[in-house]
Amino acid sequence: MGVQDGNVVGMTKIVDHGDPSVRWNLVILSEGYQSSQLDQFHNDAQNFVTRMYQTAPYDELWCGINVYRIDVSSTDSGAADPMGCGGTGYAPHTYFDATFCGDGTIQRLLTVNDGTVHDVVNAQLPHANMILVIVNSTEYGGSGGSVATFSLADGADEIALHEMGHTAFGFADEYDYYQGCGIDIGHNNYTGGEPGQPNITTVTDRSTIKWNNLIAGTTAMPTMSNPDCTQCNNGPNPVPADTVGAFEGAGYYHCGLYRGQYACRMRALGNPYCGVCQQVIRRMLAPYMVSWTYGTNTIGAGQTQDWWLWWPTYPGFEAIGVQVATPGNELQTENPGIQQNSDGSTTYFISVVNPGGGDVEFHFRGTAL
Amino acid sequence: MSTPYLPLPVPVRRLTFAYEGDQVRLVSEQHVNMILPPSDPPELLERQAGFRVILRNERGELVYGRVLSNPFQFDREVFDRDPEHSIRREPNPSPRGTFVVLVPALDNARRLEFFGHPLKPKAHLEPQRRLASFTLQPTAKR
Ligand SMILES: [Zn+2]
Repeated sequence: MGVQDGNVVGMTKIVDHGDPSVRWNLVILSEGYQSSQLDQFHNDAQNFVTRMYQTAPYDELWCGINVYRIDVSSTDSGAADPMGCGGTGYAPHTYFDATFCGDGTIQRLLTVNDGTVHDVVNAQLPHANMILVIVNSTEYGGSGGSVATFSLADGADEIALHEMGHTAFGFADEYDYYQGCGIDIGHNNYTGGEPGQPNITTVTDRSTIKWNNLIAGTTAMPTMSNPDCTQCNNGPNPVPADTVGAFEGAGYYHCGLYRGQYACRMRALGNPYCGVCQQVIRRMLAPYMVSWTYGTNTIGAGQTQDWWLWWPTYPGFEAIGVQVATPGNELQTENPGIQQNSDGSTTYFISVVNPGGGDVEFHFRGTAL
Repeated sequence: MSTPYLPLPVPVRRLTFAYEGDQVRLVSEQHVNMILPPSDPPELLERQAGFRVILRNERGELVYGRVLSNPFQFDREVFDRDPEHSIRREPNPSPRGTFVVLVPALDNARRLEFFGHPLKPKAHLEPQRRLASFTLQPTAKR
């Protein structure tokens, strides 16, 4: 069982955009690959990287992402397949103890010992932001949590992209049932508070909804209501597929919670991330994109300086701010603003305030989208 | 006034927790320099629904917090290739596991708290509360 059944062979950076301290770091580990099968794992990891690169918005954020592959060999190949779920009874010796039927009842629930996975990742790359385990089996399966696990079956990589939404970006599920439509009891009407997750809401007011910047003035709010709160809201989309608005039915409830777009990978596998989820991913990965210094200046005690930055597109930056040149000095910023100009360009504003008692040198910086 | 958020590496605590049922313990702490997202706004952390991690100073004031997906797996997500039923949730009869939380190594942070709905399946509508609290050891001056 476990770590006696294999070896951590080593780590290889397979997408290299720089030092891990300034990038978002994805780690992919092998499970159920014998030493002689690790070349196959290299292909399987590369296939996932290609899939991720082709998935919006990761394509446009790629320069902020590193991917590391950790080769872990196992004595035996594949994953356990318990007879309790109708499996073959195969019980291989593997490093992370991968097993279908991970809860004892559901065959497709493919789980690993996540404690062992974290032990390996903590030792190899403590900068890791997201951890995936590829299990060497062609049977469909996977699971989520702090470690996302998926097999080599067609379409199982969708599980990893969905789970990355939860683990790395804090997304809620956008489906409007728990165990299934027509099965659930107590999932008709959501009566709780506003969810903290960025992709579901109780709010249908276009001016205060979390993703109001993505909603066109011509889009009805709510965009799609559920006519029967005892059922899932499975009616046809009343608007073009890329419309962002408020669609009733999300977060395990038929009514009272809204999602931003009719379809999303967080609602059903095989869809793109919706516009709302894509915006969150862009904002969360923006700090890992290359950042530049646009100016360096000194500000006197008690003074305020107004700074602006022009950029030819809208929006051009996800973050602007100031960095003191000498650690320990303190500055504050006020009135940050973004103005979209009529020619399609953007002007950013920010006021720098020095509340202290001496001159402070600082850099004015921006992080490109 | 706001504190400028700069996308630069900062000292970070990488905290590994293990749980069984609703019992959770801190397994290990590592220190690493990396970029972290800014804190979520206090009004979101104090009032909205869902799991969050909160750092407090010695006066109990919030100094950093993030809304996260609940790492306590009181249910499991189950997947299917059938596009009509590709995802669902099932209660987990024996919730246990390990997860990692990344927080800034702030000099004034004294406690780390998990906050959210009770640790059991289908608790989405139940009142939220503090789920666990840990005393943080002071970080060594760099
Ligand atoms: Zn979405």
